[in-house]
Amino acid sequence: MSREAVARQGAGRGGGTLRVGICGPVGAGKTSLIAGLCGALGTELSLAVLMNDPDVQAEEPLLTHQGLDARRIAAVRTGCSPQAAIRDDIRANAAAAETLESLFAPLDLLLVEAGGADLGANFSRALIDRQIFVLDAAAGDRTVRKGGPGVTQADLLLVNKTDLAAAARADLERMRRDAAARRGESPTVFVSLAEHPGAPAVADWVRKLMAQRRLTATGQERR
Amino acid sequence: MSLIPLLLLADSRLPGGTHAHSGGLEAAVAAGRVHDGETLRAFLLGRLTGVGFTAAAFAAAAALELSGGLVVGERGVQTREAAALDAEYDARTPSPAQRATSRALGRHLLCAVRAGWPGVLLDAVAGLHPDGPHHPIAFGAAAAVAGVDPGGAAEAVALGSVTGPAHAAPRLLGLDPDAVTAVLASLAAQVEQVAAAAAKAARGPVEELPAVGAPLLEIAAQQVRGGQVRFFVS
Amino acid sequence: MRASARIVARCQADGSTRLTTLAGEAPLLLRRAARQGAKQAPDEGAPPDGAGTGGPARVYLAGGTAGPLGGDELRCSVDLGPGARLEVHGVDASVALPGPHGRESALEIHARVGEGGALSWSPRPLVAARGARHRTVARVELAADALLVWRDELILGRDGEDPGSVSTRLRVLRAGRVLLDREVAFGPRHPGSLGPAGSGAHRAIGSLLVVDPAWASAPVDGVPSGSPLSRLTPQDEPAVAVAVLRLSGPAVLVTAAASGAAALARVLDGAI
Repeated sequence: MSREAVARQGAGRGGGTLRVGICGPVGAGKTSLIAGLCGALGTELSLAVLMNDPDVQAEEPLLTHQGLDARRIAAVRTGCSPQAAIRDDIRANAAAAETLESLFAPLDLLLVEAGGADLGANFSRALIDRQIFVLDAAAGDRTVRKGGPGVTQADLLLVNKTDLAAAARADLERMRRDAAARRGESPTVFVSLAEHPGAPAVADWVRKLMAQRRLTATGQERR
Repeated sequence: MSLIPLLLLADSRLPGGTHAHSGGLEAAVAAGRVHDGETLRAFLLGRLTGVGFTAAAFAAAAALELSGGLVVGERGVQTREAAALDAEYDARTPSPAQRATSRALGRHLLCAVRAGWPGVLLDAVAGLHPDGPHHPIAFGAAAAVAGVDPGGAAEAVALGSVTGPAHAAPRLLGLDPDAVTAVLASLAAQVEQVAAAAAKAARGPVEELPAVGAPLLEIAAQQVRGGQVRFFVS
Repeated sequence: MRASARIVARCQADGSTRLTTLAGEAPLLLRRAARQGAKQAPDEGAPPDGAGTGGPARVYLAGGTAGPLGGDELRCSVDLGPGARLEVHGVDASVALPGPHGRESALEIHARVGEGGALSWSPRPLVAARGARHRTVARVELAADALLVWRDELILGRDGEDPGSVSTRLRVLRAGRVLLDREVAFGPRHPGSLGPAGSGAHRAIGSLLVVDPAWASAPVDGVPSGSPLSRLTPQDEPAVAVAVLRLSGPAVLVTAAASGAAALARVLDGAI
């Protein structure tokens, strides 16, 4: 590809495996969401998980417990800079993603979990197709208002631990209003992954993306 | 030679995967060998005159070899000389972990550089080995296509052998970034000397290129520390 | 001082190895082992005749005088014909000392091992005394199915003494292709070499290279199982640091650092 073509591209990836990035602060529920999606989608889709985690062995059982083959989990170390690894310099993640995709081809869905990061964290569009930002409602209701690229640009904002919001005196309505103001038409989902581990709303959102993708793919083939 | 391409290639923000590597510093910190500015400086000096010198010489040799472009023969692009350099560097890297790191960083570097300087030369060098060419070979090839001379390639790689771990130091030790800058500045003259010696060696026969290694870095690179979480790849 | 030593070994019709040349001069004196298991040997320079035991021939490398001394130029060549097997052992540690004119001492070793041959090279450690400047360069050429064990031990300074400067480079070719090329250098003339990326707090640094063509078919990652090498425990501790490195070929390099010569010797002994 020429230098000009690469420079023009910038907008993201084409077809193949649907890659969904999952970002958010430590403890917000990123791994729980992935475990839920593995449980909900594992039987209908061929999926794999790429974790930006220095201690993936501790996390693995959460996913294998949902029926995911441990070989379908890969890890990337980020050198204490989780945001750089998903945004500024995605080489290691891109290489690991390609390895998983070729090992388990055809792979329908690749979930890429970022290392715990702040509200400014988002994925490079060269690494993923869609991204979910996970927030902890119990961490306070000002997080959505603060915004930041993670919150405003995510294709789906997931506010988790709604069951703990009252105890933490977090106003979910306020968060809902802030999300609407900050995110416009982009969806925001409120959930307690502890109470609904399968995260049906998110699983449906992924199913819809998969369906769109298949449609586009067949459309392109016909042409 | 314009300095701009050299500065672009030597920029630590070039997305070549280096941010997740500490050049053995994380292991040295874990073993208690590095804990402050002074021990960091001693660590960086050892890295510079050891693996830094060897890598700089190979980068310069690759730049020298490839600066004339590649000969396209009947069987495609001729990469025999670059392949010989890659094999010689492989033999100078006895640690499997360090070999894997070097090849991964070589592959990542070429991915980044090919976007800026596309062409058959980098494609051919990328294909030297399934895991990617060793990093110094990749850097020398990048220098050749970007118009950086072998001396510049040696300087960038010698400097990179210390800036990589130096930039990991604030993250691993909470060291004052200004103190790290002071340490790097105090090594500037030595970086220049090592690069000059490396560029000189690069003009000699391939088998006589430097081969200086560092046993403790090799040993630490192979350690899987039980119970201790590692944040850096190397 | 200039000195040279030469060992030539050939395989006999009965499978034993005969030393056809055994010539040395101080400080590179060579002594033939009387028979298998005997530690000391008779007169140096006795007419070479077959070892006659069917086992490998054995030669002891004896220092003779102190040194190498700054300015010394020493050469040693070893030539093993097809099927020939030789063990070279040391008698005492050699102590590299500074010479009168501040010059470097150098030892060049050139070894060739033919098809089906086996060379085991395990001299005693080299001690770099304060002020010394020594360089060892070894080049080993192996036939594709030759076996090699090559041991190196460096002690940085005599007891309680600052180390001198010493470097050793080992280059091994197998079937004409480079398998290992490795230099280690320590001492005040090698900046940073005594720091945390060099020898750290260790005073004894060593390595053991084992080339075994039988491993050519084994996977390239990991240490061949069944070999004593697989019993070594990798560690990075203040007393002993050791790693077992599989090269990109049928060879393993044990690299070790220890607080002292005895601890280092114990680690490397455990690898054979």
